[in-house]
This record gives sequence, C-alpha cells and structure tokens, in this order.
Amino acid sequence: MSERRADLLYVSWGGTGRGESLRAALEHAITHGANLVFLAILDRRTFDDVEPVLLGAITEELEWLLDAQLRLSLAQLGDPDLVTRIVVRAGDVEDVVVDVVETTGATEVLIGAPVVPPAVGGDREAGVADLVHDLELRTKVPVQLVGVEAGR
Amino acid sequence: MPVLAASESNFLETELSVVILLATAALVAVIVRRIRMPYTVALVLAGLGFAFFPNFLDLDISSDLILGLLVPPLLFEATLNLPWRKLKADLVAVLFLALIGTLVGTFIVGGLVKPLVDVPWPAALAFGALISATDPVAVIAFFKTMGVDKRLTVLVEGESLFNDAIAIVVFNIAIGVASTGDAFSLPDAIREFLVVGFGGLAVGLVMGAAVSMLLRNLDDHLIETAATLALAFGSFVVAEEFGEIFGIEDFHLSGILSVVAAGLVVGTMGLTATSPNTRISLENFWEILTFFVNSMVFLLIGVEINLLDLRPSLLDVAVAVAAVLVGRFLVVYGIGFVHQFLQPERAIPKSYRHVQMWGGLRGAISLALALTITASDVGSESTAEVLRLMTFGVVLFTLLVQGTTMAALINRLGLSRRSEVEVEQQRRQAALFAKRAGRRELVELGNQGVLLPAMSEALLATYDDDIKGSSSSLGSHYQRHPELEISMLLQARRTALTAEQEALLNAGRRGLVSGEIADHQFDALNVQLFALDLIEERWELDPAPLDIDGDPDV
Repeated sequence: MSERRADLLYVSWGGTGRGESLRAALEHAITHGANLVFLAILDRRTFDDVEPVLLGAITEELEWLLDAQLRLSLAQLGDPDLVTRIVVRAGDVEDVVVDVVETTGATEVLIGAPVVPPAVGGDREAGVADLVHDLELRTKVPVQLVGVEAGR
Repeated sequence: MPVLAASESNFLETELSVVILLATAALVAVIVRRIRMPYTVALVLAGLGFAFFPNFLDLDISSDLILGLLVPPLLFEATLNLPWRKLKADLVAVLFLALIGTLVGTFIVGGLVKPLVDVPWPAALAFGALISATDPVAVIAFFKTMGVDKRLTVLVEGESLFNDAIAIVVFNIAIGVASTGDAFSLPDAIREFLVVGFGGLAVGLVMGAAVSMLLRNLDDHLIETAATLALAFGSFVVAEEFGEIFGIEDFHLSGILSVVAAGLVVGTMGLTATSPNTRISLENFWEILTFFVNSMVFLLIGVEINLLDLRPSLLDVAVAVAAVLVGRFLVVYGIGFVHQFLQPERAIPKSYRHVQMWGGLRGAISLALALTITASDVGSESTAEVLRLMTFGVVLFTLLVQGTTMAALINRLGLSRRSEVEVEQQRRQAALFAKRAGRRELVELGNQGVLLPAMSEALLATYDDDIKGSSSSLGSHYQRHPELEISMLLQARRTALTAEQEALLNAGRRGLVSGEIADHQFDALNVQLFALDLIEERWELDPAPLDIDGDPDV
C-alpha cells in the first residue's frame, strides 16, 4: 500500500499567485513529493459588499481562470506527476487559511509573492512578516513566501 | 411670401452651418488619427479657427441649444452605459464629490474670485457654481484608450453626471438672489435645492420606469430605439416644464437629474430585458448619436470662445483658473481624506485622486450656464461679461492644458494598463493572429482549386515557418513576463463569453431556441462577464501602483 502524499497549501488572495509564483509553488511540491492545493481567497476586505449571487459567479469564474493557469503552468513544467486541486473561499485571509489547513491536513503553507500591500491590511503594520508569523502560530505548520519577492 | 422666403433662407443657412461643422468634425477625426492629440481638444482648436471667418457660420449658440438639445443625449447615453452595480459600489464617494464637492467648490471659487476680480457676492457664487460642473468626455476617452481601471471611470463619470445637475441648481439659486436683490435665505435655498433636485429625480424615475416597461413588453428595435430617444429629451423637457404642464406658476424641476435618473433606470431595468438584437441596435444608435453630439459640443465651445475677446481680461481669467484649481484640489483631496474614514474598504487610492483633481475638465454645462447670464442677473453688463470671459478662459485652459497632459499623468502614475510590455505582447499576438488567418485563406484557395497543389504546399510551408516563429516569439515573451498570463486568460475568457452571447443571439434569431431562453442565458452570461470585471478590478490587482512621491498607493 503506497503512502499518501502530503498536501502543500499554496495561498493567493489576489495580486499574488502570478505565473511565476505558482510555478515556484509547483516546483516546491514536486521537490517534496507532495500534492498541491491551490487556495484562492476572496478577501472579505475587498469583496464584502458583493451580493451573494455575484460572489457565486466570481467564485466560478475564478476557479475557471485558475484552473487554466494551473494547466498552463503544469504544461510549462513538462506535465509532472503531481496531484493538484483548486479551492476558492471567501472570508478573512487568516481565518480561511487556518480552516483549510485543518481540513486538508496540509503540512506547509506557501504564499504567492508579491503580496499586495492593501491585502495585507492597514491594521497589519508590519505587513507580510507579521502575517507569516501569525499564520505559523495559528496553523502550526511552516509558512513561506514563494515567487519573485521571496528570495529578496 | 417674403417672410416665408426669409425664414426658409435662415433655415438653410443654419442647416449649411451644421453641415460645415459636421464636415469639420469628420476632418478633425481623420487628422487626429495621424497626430497625437485628443479628439476633443482638436475639435476645440478647430472651433477656435472659425473666429478667423466670422461670417462663415450662421448659428445662434444659445444656452437652450446646449442645455436642451445637446446635453440630454450625452447624459442619457453615459448613464445608459454606466453599470449600476459598479456605481452602487462607489455611490457614497460619487455623491460626496458631486454634492458636497460642488457646494464646497462653489464657495471656495466664489470666495477667491469675489475679492480678486471684484464682483458682487451672488455673481461670484454663480460663477463658482457654474464652473463646478465637470465634463468627463475628454478624460473618459483617455481612460478607454489607455486601459485605465473601470473603477476610476465610474468615479469620474458618476461625479460628473450628478454634479452637473447640482451646479445648475446652485447656479440658479445664486442668480435668483443676484437678480432679485433679495437677501439670501439658507432655509429657502435648501428647500429649493431639495424640491428641484428630488423632483427631477422623481420625474426621471417615473418616466424611465414607464419606458423600461415598454422595452420589456415589446420586441421591435426601431420602436425601442425611438422610445429611448424620446425619453432622453422627454425626461429633460417634462422636468424643466413641470410647472407649465401642471399649471404651477414659476415652478420647474432639474431636467439634468431627470435625464440621469431615466438613463440609470432604463440601463438597469429596461435594457436587461431587451432582445440581443435590440440591444445591439440601441448601442449602435447611441454610439453614433453621441459621437455626433460630442463633436458638435466641442466644436461649438471653440466657435463660441473668441481668443481676442479674452485678451483684455487675461488677469481675471488667470485668477479664475487659479481659483478653480485651488477649489478642485481642496475638494478632491479633502473629500477623499474624509471618505477613507467613512468607507475604508472603498477608500479611493491616492493615484486616483491625482487623476480626479487634474481631470476635472470643464465644458458644455459651464459654457451653457455662462451664456445665460445677463446684465439684469448680476447687476451690470460688465460683471456679466467678466463672468462669461472667465468661464470661457477656464474651459479653454482645462481642455487645452489639463486635457493634453492627462495622458502623461496617467502614465506617470502607472495607471495605464497598456504598458510597453503589454503593447509588445499585443504586437506579437497580432502577428500570430494575422499569419494564421493568412494560412486559413491559403488552405481555402487550395481547396477551391484557385492555387495549384504544389503552389499551395509551398506557400503553406512558408506560412507554417512564420507561424512557428511568431508562436515561439509570443511564448518567450510570456515566459519573460509571467504577469501577463492572467490578464491574457481574462481577456480570452471575456472574448469566449462574448462569443457565447453572439451564438445565443444567432440561435434566437434563427428560432433554434426561444427568445425567452436566449435572453435568460444572455443575462446569465452578463453576470459572468461582470464577475470577470470584478476579478480584474479587485482580485487580480497589480502590486499597488506607486505614488508620484514613491509611496505605496493605498
């Protein structure tokens, strides 16, 4: 009986998750022999005023777009043997990440860079570093940035 | 019959003048394709040129012509195409700018002009009000060509639609005080403001709802187009002539707000229920009419302003321009500052505020109101003349100086989505697209026997090489600029959904599916397209654009 592969959670809430970051996350998953869950969050700070019907349409369209982006990235990486799936959720970024880590049992969280300042929020003065720290505390799994700004 | 002959002759002369203006507009449209100048600015310059041929045009450019005939269709078309969902999302900011901004701007400009130009208080406030009406046509044209965020378009266009009406109401109150010499009564002014404004809105809502019902229950693109045209003018006239129609002496409502309300209602309720065929007819009709009316408006602005008349009043004009800029600065940044605390989730980015400030161009409404000012309104002919000249000067300055520098500002702020990288992507994409179309045509020619098989094979092989090269060039561009991927996917998805709508339209026309089902699915696709707009606007954000001073823009 083969051992179940671990899930890595790649998180994006808009402005993040560009092709380069996504490919970095995919490569990370391949290197670690893990599956990749692509979590797209419709941040409540930006989508709170949207009617439920429209939010449903946004969720469907975003899933469609991200699926296309994921297929494109996998093709560019030579269609590796990798299981991926997309989850689109609306809510507070931190709460959603914590919830999805719990339900999927993800062993690591990857955040697509560059992280857009408004999404980090005016109340998070220290911005990205604080977010990463808070997520590590709450999810109890390693959290790291991947993509263009990650190596800076 | 000499009277009839004379009136016929006048009519023909007026008709000839309109034809000359139309021909000029067409010529200007051709020229601006070759030079880098906004169409509206070029029209104003062409209009100014008519000053050298004083007897060439036989036109009485009255306030009624502009306000009653030219402005209603422009406002109606703008509201018809203003997505209510988007306007609703920013309604607080829009109304703040339009209502509070116009009132505050009126007092700031009036307060600065009063001592510096030495005109009476009511006249200064009348000028402050008439010059507060912004004209977004030139700015919106830039937004479209430069691919600026739709939210900024809604903010600028929405503010303009409402502040036109508010400026007119405030202007009429100020002129009323100036002409009667009565002491200013704040409660009376507020009452008049509310009655005229809300009354105008009510008339537009009722008439717009009635026409929307007609559109929902009828499927005839000619009648429906005629109905919207009648509504655009009818809502204006009924509101303005409300007292006359219902026998109330000296009573009128805001025609502009009536048109705005009618357009919003029809755009939201009526158009969604029309058949795809009618919708396309309506869009085409209003596009042509708007092009025609806009061309006339900007040409007439140029025709009406005589540069030689402005020369002796240059100092007054300079004061007016400075006052207008100071007023706009304080209004846009002040209201933006307050608004960010009221609606932090919809705070207006600083870069947008810079565009709103510098993009506050003045046009037809200001000009039309200035033309109504008479000596008896403001105490003396010299005061009336100063107000008119200051208005002409400000309109000219905003169109020629601010209008021609808007593109540079938008680029400087990084708000143009058509960056060099994107232009290069489109160039490579266009090359690939064209090559593939050429190849398809060659295959067709080969199949039809027009080309000999050997010829066809040789040409196709050459095309295949070209296509391979273009495809690889596009691929390497995407690899170098991965940020283009999502925008490309969004664009492709949007095109695909529009193609689905076209297919539904065709199926409905051919009777393959019922009109009701086609309409229902068409609307569902509209929701999906709107969802894509929101994804582009709110989810797929570019990393925050930098402010001029380098601060991240929040």
